Amino acid sequence: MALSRFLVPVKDGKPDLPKTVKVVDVDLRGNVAEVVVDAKGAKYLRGRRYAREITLPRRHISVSQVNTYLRCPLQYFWRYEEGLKVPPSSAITFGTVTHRAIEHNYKHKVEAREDLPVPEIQEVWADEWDKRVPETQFEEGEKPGEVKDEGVRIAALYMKEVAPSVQPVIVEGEFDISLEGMDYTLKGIVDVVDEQSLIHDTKTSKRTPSEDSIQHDLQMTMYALGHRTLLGIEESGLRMDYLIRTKIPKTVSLAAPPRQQKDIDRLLKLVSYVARAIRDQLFYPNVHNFMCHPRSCGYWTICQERWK
Amino acid sequence: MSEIQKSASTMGVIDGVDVHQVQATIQKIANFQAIVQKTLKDGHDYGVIPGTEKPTLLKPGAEKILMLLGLTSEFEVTERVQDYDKGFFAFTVKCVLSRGGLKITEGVGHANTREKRYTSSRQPDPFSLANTVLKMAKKRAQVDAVLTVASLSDVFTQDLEDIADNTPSAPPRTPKPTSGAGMSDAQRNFALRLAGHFEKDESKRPEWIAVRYGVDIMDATKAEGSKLIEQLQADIAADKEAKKQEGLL
Repeated sequence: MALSRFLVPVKDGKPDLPKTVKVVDVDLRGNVAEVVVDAKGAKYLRGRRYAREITLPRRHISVSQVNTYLRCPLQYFWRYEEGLKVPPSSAITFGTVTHRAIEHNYKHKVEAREDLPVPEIQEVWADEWDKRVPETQFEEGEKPGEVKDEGVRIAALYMKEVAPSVQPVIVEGEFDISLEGMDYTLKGIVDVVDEQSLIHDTKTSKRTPSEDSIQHDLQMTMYALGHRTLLGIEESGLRMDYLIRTKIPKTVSLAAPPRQQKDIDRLLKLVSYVARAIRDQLFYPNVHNFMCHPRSCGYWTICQERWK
Repeated sequence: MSEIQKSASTMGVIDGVDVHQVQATIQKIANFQAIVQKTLKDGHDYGVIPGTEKPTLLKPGAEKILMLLGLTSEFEVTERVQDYDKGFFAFTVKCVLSRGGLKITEGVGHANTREKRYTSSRQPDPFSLANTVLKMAKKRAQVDAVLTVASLSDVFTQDLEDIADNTPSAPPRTPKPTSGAGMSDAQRNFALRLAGHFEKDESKRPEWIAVRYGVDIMDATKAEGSKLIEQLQADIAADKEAKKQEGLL
């Protein structure tokens, strides 16, 4: 039996609901109540827009959902509550394709213990790019062919400068952590963990990152938590390999020691607060975010039109 | 029976006791408690629930104690509520422990679908939980019986996970990842892949690990899994260093 949650007003100390709706569970909260109803009741309430549905994915919250909410709560709303997907920018597609090509090499290397030939990785990059070009939003004057050439070069650079030093053991390792006292799990995917439990992540960027950017990177803390939960041991360190898209592309590797317990505790606290905010339907634009701009946010138009 | 008569019979019982035999029995109980504490594994047979002092006896631990004592258990559902309209299911189970057909003691356990652990939406619907709560009642009855028969109530406590479930909901707090007792699949795969550094044949790696580290990866605990991974990592690092010295790397 599928169950759904709704927020409804309270009348005389009881949820104010039509008699036809059978309530499985009630949690009174002042002048509103959180009710759990069966599929039939949910259909009735949705159909009549009688009550506000609580759509937090109670089963799990993902690392990217947390990141999106922290970036902009309203962007989270459009993306995960309304299910609106906007075409990715070319920078996003560039990063995704690079990620896929690297993953292809490392999945092979786990057992083979040697890298694939560079031309094969370049071919994977080019094929992935071609597949994703039709759904990508390019900026004015941007030429997909030129970006593709740049990507193929950058894939070769990665294979030459970074891949040889990595012997992966986990590639795209999914973790799903049960959190004590919480009715959901935290899900994520760690890119690469090597033989010595060093966690690797790769990013593409047009600018050289600051030296300390890895120190406070939330995603890396989540990976550290994932590593500890999956393997029961602390990671040996964190490494972020940047592929810098300058005229002459270059790689920059940043390293950090294992995360401290206080970092993990802080992260878990943050996740629990984000989850509660989502459950309580707190969605507002983060206007101070530098990405709250028509050129940087794919939801800008929707946001201007619908959030009044 | 009057109060005077009652206390007279209590005194009668005490009078009839052989004090030396009692001392010997108490010593035996203490010895048995020590054996149990030594034999059972933390995190697998028992666990400490945060915020509590006494460890909680878990099902694997209870089963081991029964084996140690040569006892068999039989179960009887003494009370059941199966309301298919309201989706409410409750069971009370009695566990009878016996040896050689002679009843030694019994324990009781109850579970129902209204318990907080079963009402969160991470759980399936109550109809799918009927079997789960029946099993839970059975487990609770068994642990209750084992704690009584083995005089272990001052060593272990009954399922404190239940008490933790029934505490009022707290404001947001820092949650902790929960961990299982046995070696996880992730640990097992990680260890097997690390072993690939030394043993190229995938199918031979479990045996290679068993011989080299004395660990059966199918039966190891999570703690043993973590230790195994760390040992493998250390050996790989040492092997690489040795090869480097030899000029092979």
